[in-house]
Amino acid sequence: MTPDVGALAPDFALPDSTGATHTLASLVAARPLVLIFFRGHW
Amino acid sequence: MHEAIRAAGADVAALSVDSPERSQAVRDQLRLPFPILSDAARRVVRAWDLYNAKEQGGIAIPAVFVIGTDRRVRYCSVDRTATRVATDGVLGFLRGDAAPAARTRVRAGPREFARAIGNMIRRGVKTPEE
Repeated sequence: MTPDVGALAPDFALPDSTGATHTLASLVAARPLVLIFFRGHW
Repeated sequence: MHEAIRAAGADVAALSVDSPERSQAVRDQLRLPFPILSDAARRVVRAWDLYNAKEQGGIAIPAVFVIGTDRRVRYCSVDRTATRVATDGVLGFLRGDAAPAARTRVRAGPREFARAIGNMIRRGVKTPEE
């Protein structure tokens, strides 16, 4: 389910567009993260 | 928008089900400075219940989260139609416009749109052109 406010966001490991892998844990380690889900290119 | 979010103390990342190659083309075309994560296997969008199976072979439902350094969700806006309200709301939240108690789940709609406009009028929020 969609993590609600206050809940732990499930961690994940995904490649970015350059091929580098990021985990959510690493993306929020230094600063809060604005994570934008979008529909993508048609 | 990205500069404003960075200035407010947060980083930005986007996520879609596009392949890394397609995502990089989008980054190049729009000159986006932040990473685009590629959920090609649709594992994350399904786990977060943000999967629209009905369009274009299955795509992400637009949504914006602010995730704290403890990995807890601090702000969430799930959009059923693509709007700019979500990112305006995020800026307002990051700037502390929202009271701490207002850590509510936001469903973007006419009320959120009115609130975003009201914030912009009252505070004269300007986001730098990207």
